[in-house]
Amino acid sequence: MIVLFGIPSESPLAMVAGALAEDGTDFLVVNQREVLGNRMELRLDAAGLQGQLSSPERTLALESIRGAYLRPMDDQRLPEVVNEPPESVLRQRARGFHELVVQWAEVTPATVINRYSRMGSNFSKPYQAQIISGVGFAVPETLVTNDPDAVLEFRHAHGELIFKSVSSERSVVKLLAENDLQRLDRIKHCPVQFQEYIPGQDFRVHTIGDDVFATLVESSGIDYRYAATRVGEAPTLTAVSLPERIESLCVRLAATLDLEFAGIDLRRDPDGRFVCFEVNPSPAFSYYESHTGQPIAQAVAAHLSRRREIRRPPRGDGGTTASATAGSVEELALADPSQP
Amino acid sequence: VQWRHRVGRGSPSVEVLLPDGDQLRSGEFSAVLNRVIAPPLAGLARTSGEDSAYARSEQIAFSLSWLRALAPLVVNPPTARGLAGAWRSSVEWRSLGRAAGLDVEPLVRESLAPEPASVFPQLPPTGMVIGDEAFGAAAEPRVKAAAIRLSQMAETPILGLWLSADRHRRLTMATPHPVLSLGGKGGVAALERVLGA
Repeated sequence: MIVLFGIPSESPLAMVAGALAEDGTDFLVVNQREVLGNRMELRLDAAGLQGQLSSPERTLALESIRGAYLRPMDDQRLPEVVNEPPESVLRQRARGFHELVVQWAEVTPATVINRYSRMGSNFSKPYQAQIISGVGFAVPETLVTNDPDAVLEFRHAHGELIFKSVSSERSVVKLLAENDLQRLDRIKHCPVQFQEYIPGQDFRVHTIGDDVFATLVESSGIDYRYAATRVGEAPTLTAVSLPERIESLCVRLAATLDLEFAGIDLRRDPDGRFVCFEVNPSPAFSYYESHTGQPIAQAVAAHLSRRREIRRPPRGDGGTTASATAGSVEELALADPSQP
Repeated sequence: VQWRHRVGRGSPSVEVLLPDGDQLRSGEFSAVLNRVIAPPLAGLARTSGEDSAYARSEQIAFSLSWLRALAPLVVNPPTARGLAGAWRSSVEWRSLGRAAGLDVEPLVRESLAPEPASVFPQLPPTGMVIGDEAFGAAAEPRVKAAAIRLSQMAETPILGLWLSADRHRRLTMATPHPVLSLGGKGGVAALERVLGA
């Protein structure tokens, strides 16, 4: 039995549900918005971990769950809850269920994508960068400081800089412009993260266990995620293969972070060097799959079921959406310059 | 306080200029005893609402990174679940304790009657592990090896444990931030060994 927890209409959850249905796998979508209908009981004693999970649809023994895909939104912002007073029953029910699911996910022997404890490194970008670097990836030169003079020295050493949040909140990348230098004194109140600007091609790599799906993202924006709204041009996505060493490093990085499923952001600089920016522990893969046809949902479903056969579309026969040019792009898998 | 924290091609580093002119630099320490629960947040008093929450997240995320970079050995190591070691729910501690070989107090949780993830007993921990040594109730032969194993599995070299007062010494909860005085002079010596002093 596989459990999906979140909002059924949310694209990644819906796509994994579709893949499980297609495979004939028994699964239950626990709709987070069924605040009054969901319930969990958990017992831990000398016999081990037992209990049950109930939704309006079904009741399951916790021991029967082999895999879980967790995509809940903040339970206190659910439409059913957001306008409720702080002590309302609905709020408490939403919180109680969410908390217990999270606690269960930490201790169940089931395959969980992903346990909350494993998702934490993304909360601090420079902390995660230290781990990324330890695995063997290049990371951008980074300075976190509240000293304006240090920023100017860093800029002198590295040229153009970007700045972004240290945490995962309000994480929008911006170039440090001349007019930003006029207000640099404001960083004295809270350290800010600055990074060398690295030009090049963006890649999003999804790893599911040992499976790797790499996507080339071509965009004229500094941060391609916001390119459509900021520069009026949606990115173009293409399924690609990366050098074997880079794909292996991606798998090793996800394993080091103990992530069953990860979205890894890489950029290949003009010298051909792959630089890793960050690892997203709860990737919204549907955007990439819908533009390239990469069978990511199917891989997630197979991983949850512990089946390994992924039906990849033949090269050259990928996605066909308006802004995508998916398909066989082996020629884009340029040689890794760090390889002999 | 002035901060310069670097991550990149070389080893991560941190330089801290204190108000009295003293400086701390990573590379000057071989080990650090880390007892930071939260960064000082007094500077955020003038912020409010979402800005305050954002600034708080930024400070904690920053602390997590510079603490990791401060020395080759940081005890307890900072984690995303706690700056001086991971805070876990009683469900998780008891599950981990059981896997480590400890008897655990049976537990029932029900989503209709939630309680916070980390409910701590009123009294201080009854046992403690520092490195490969145990103190208080955790030092009893019946539980010592399992208590040390729990500390290792939790990657928390300094660990406080609440063990029941009866002969079973069942685990109810644990903390990465115990009162160190429980270890007495032996605890100080164990800390020296853990830190390689």
